[in-house]
Amino acid sequence: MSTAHVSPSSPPAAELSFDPAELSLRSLLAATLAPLRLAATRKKLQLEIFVAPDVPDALAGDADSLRQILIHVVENAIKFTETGGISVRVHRENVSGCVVRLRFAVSDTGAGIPLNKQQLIFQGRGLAAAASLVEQMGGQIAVESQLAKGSSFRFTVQLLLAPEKETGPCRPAGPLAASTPAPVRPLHVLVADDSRFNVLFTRSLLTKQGHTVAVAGSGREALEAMARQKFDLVVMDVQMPEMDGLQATAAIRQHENESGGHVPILAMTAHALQEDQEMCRRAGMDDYICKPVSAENLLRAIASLTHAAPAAASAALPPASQIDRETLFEEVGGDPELLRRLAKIFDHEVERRLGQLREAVAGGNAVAVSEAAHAFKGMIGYWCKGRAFEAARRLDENARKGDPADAAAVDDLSREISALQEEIAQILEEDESCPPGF
Amino acid sequence: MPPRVLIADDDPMFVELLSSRLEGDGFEVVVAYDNVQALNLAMRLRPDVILLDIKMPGGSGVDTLKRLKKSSLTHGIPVVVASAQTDPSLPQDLCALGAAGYLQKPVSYDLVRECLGRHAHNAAA
Repeated sequence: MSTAHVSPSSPPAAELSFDPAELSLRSLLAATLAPLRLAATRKKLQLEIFVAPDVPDALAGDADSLRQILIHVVENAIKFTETGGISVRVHRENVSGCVVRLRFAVSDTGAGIPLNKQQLIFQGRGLAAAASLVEQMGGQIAVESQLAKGSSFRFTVQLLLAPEKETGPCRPAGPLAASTPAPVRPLHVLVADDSRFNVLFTRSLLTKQGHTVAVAGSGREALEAMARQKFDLVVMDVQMPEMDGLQATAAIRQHENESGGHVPILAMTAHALQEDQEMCRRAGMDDYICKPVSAENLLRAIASLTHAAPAAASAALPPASQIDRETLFEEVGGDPELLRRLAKIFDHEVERRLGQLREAVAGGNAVAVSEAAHAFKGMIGYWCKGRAFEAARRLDENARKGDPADAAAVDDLSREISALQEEIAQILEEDESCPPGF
Repeated sequence: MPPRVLIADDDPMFVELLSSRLEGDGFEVVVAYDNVQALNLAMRLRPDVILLDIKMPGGSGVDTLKRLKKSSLTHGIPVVVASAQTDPSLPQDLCALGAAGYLQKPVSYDLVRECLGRHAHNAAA
């Protein structure tokens, strides 16, 4: 048996930086691993989940990162295993005050990894992302492997015990508390949609409101998810492969007729026609909104369906956000690859144009400054009309008045552009973390 | 036959966005990055519609428009001009020179597609 470690440093709990949304660990595991179970089944592999009984379920922490880590590690295990199966085991390592340290082990019966390759595997795209997320969650990741026997990826993460009530002793003070979303009742929401971009948009919006989200890629997957766990709300796309939203809703309502209960179902339709609305109602949907879905409409509909106080749409977005994702996704026609290519061109152009701009500023050439600033305005405008755009616009406007600006103004612009580039990279990363088929 | 559009523009993001999406919507897309290339491709490939940026390297877009309208090979091809310039008299001046349409940048993809589709259709009819 040989072991390789990465990220040996473990930051103290006080340095943890995450959005402490409440989560149910077991639901999160079930929802995250459901689509991977399908992938495993396709390869005739078992996927087994075990959570030790002493692991608390009501936790708070970075659910999105934990999901991504699981997806990367389990996907990797499925990829390199041909027979047998994969097990995901969770144990409680320790609890100190409000902080819970959990130990995950993802073991497979694959080919194993030779010792000299064990460090290298963390350089691959998915596992590198997982390793960095583990580190962000105050944990460590390691792999143990035996050739021809299989590999076991072990990682730890730190989470908080969910506060008992709003002002409970476990709600941390300071920056952690400041980033807690407004107290909207946290809901467990199932989003059923086959469009990856819609899923990304809806999921990011809902999690930022403090809700937890499970995803299904078809009506059939939605039914499977609902058979395994209880949801407070279902957001259902009408047009989906395999089984559409209307059929799935009819099946859910029929099941409820026998077992009782009524989960609110919000339909998303591509058409605003009266017939579509009527069709949704007849299938048993409670309300509907039209695509492309705006943050405001979605949050308002959810609030009215769940009798929660509506939160302002703007509050759902982080204050630093410059990009209007909805408009951007719409403009690229929901094509993540196009978005990726545009980001690459943008980076390249930024570098080229910044050189031109600095040269023009150094030479005191207001006309050239205006020209370069104008070009920046155009290319930034593809992404946002936020602070970076404003900085370029100001430079352009002043240069037109004959002011060639100074190096500090260019630095300002450059800083804002870097922030924008970071946000673009984040959007692209989120897209990558969404497994294929979503 | 899919409508063939010539995009003459030196903004690489604009070109990437438009060509990707127009191809997805069933257009055949040809790209020119300067005025000389734009004239060459227009004459050689005879597109159904041209989207012309007024500010490109290798000459003036206004001149390119004039030459497209003068040549017997290309004078029948509708030319839609796209520009980020805000000169209020520009659209009128361009129409006087024979431009079929004018789009003020920044412009949404939907508007571009609608405009190019309409002019390509009219030209074919």
